Amino acid sequence: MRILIVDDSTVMRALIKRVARLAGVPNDGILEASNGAEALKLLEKHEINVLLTDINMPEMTGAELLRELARRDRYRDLVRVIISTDGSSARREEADGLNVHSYLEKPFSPEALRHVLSQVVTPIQS
Amino acid sequence: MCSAKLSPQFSPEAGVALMNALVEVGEQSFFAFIESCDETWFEELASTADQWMIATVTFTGEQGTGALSCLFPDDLVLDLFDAFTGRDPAEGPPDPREVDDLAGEFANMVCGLWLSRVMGSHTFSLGSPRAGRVPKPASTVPEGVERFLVVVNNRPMIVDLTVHAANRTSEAIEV
Repeated sequence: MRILIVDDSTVMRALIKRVARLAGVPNDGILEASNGAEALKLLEKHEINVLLTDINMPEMTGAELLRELARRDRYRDLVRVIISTDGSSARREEADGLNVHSYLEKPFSPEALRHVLSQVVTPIQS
Repeated sequence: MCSAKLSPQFSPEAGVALMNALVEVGEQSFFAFIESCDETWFEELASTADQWMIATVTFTGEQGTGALSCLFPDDLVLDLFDAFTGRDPAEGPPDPREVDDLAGEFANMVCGLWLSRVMGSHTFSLGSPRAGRVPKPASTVPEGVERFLVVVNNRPMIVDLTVHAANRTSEAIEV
């Protein structure tokens, strides 16, 4: 069981990591990237089950990352979750076409993130 | 009651949406109580703050461009940092880069949430937040800026907003 957190904010990654641990993800099962390009490199090197990605990031945005993943068949089973300040209906509609499991808008409560993680992590672990 | 005087570029509804975004971000992510305040109360609180930080996020969208800046005293940013990260203040001061990052993330969340509310059916993108130290802010509001004075956990904070509507410089952003 491995998850990848993609966000350009170190404090936001730390918060998501803390909640993920509380949701039962082991510490060594959590990888981090600060943009979409870094995430792609990690996805190529490691077997990753769940992707938690921000949208607005430098170099390669979360939307660009998700579009790239949608073109690659090897990632068809990767569970995709967006965690973003951008909660516009236009962005949510775009996400619907990119095989996104859940869309969590910032600010979020730790309980809301834990709920999303329990939906995606528990089925994979079992 | 919001103290900002809104220009024709900025509708009253957009001002209310900004205050709502501030309150929601404060409560959800920072366990902070945020309320608007008048200039007298603000000046009283600001007189006790010497070191200030600014965090700015720029945005572009189909309806226009702009920037949102949050100006807060250093001690308030540290309080928000502790609330967000769960850091124990007894651990010693946090890495200044992480404090900058936190200040930027605060501005980022406020701006993103506000834009999601006022531009719901239109796309927008946010620039990377920038943060740094500034002198105590002047009470004079720069031209073209909408200023909101708020109190966060009994500490002063300023939110400055600049909006340029796309090809319609005298029209309000629709909400």
